[in-house]
Amino acid sequence: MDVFHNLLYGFGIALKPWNLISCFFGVLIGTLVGVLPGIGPVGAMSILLPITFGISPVSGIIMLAGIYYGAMYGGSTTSILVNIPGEAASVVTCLDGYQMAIKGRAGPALGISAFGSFIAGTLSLIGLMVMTNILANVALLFGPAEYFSLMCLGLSLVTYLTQGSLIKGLIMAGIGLFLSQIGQDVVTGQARFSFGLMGLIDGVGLVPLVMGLFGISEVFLNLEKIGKKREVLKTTFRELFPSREDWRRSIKPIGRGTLIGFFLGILPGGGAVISSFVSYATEKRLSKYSEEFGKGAIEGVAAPESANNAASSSGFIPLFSLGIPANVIMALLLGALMIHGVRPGPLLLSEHPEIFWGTVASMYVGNVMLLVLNLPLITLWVQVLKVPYRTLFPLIILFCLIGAYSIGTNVFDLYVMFFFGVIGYFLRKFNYEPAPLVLAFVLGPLLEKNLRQALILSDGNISVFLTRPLSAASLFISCLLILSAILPFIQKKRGEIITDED
Amino acid sequence: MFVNKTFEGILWIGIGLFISILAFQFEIGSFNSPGPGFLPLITGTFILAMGVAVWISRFLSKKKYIRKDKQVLSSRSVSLTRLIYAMALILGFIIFLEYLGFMLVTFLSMFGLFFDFEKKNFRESLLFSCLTSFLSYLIFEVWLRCQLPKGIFPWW
Repeated sequence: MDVFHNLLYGFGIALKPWNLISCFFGVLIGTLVGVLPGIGPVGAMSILLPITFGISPVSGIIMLAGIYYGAMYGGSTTSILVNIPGEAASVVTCLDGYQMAIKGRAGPALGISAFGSFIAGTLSLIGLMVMTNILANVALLFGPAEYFSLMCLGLSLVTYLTQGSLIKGLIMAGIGLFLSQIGQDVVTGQARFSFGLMGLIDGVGLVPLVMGLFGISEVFLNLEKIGKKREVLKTTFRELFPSREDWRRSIKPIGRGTLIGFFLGILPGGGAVISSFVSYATEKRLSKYSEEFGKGAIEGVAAPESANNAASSSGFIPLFSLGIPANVIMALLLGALMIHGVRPGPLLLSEHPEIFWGTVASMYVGNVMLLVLNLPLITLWVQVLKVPYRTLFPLIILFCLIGAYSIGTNVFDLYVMFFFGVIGYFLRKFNYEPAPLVLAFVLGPLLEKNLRQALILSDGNISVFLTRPLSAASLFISCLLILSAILPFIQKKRGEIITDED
Repeated sequence: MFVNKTFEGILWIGIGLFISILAFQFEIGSFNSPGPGFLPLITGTFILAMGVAVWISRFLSKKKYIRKDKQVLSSRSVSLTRLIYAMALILGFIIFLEYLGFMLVTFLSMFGLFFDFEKKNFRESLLFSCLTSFLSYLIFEVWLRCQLPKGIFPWW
């Protein structure tokens, strides 16, 4: 009953005009970046992060969350019509979605993807409400030692965020941790690593850092591919509604996709991406029409699209209940909340119920908005797909420049953004992923503060991290996560063939 | 790749060492009372160790080296020129923002970014850059009240 009352309270917040506008703006931008290959939800969120500083924390988070799940919806459009995934979680949708489009069934593919996403997104929100409450109650028992171990658990997620070399991912996490130490010491207030630069005394800003690493560096990388034309398959609104047979074949895959997406979404590292692949593989194994997979099976669109949307909602559970981000998007949201003075974690529900319940309720509203945006306006999104990157990239750069400058009206932030843009470009060129860096950068100050507090309180006794059950459990899970990532990595190393450009 | 791994390993060892040395500028403290240099020292040592791992991995891996077909050099140099050109324009925007003001510097940099050397789309770039600077001024300065620099034209 409490949940029901709280949800009503959340709707009261989400339906306020300014929050409705934020939600609409968020899902609109999300769909746009999902549709447009070349800029992902992380880039868009980092570009728009400064805009949220001028509005209330609730509106800001509603908008940023809208961008995230909006991108999941929009990503399927490019996968189906152009065979280019708008974002990583839609990669698997290309396999059958594009084949359906070639056979003249782009409409039902887009339709089932939108309806499946809507059903999965809405159902997983129920799980989000229940699970967050349970986990938050457990987390109330946490002290500095438990928090430190929890942050270690958060950092060990790096092993899952890394798609390439594990060592490279760990190096990036180390660099992120070091960058988080620039500026005033969290305990004594002493300035560290400012190298005589006034702008670094307050530390490196999250916004210029992520804008540089994701926004600017992405533009630099895409500049190399400019000029390649895209062929867009046509569809109209009338063709979008799946037939009764399509529904019959899709309803179970949507249900299974929702469940898989929800549970994998809670787990660390790219939940939406992994869940879309797992649900596709599951359907291929379970389906009566498994021979049709890869040739235009509607189950191959319904299941992964439902799974990635369910995962995008459940990814909020560890953030809201424990204060640990499961992926880089959640790390950005964590950063945004902290800039607003809100600390996600077990106390979020009691201290800032408006943020949790307002965001959850706005997701229901946002899912309805997305259905309206994605189905009747499909012809508009098809037109957007035709905008050449040559026209788009100057606008992305301008948004980044204005965004980074407007936070503190400080040119130094622009230099920081440019610096990380160039660094990010070279890192990606050498297969170093920026996501672990950002995760460690966001978690760094909390990790350091809790480590030092725990050591001071225990009089330098390191065993405090192992004798307290919750802390020991977190460290144990961290070790398991790292081991589970290292073992296949070591096996893979044998007999590996590496291509060399030189 | 062999040379790359050696270079990468040495680079990270160097960075790790640099951070560790810098950490000693601050009080390291002890387990009883960790100081501001405590975690930076651990971080530096960690990066150093990872650098060693990258460096050593080149000796441990039994790999075949396959050369990829080289991309056409001309297309590579075109994309590199475009990249350096875009970087220079962004840097120009940052350097001159406070001197020339938001409107002028946005117009100039946007004109440069929209301009296509192959198509010579002079009119199109002019139109887009005018529109972009005007609309961004309206949105950010007038509507969102961002304090954008006015530079040599204080009436903007």
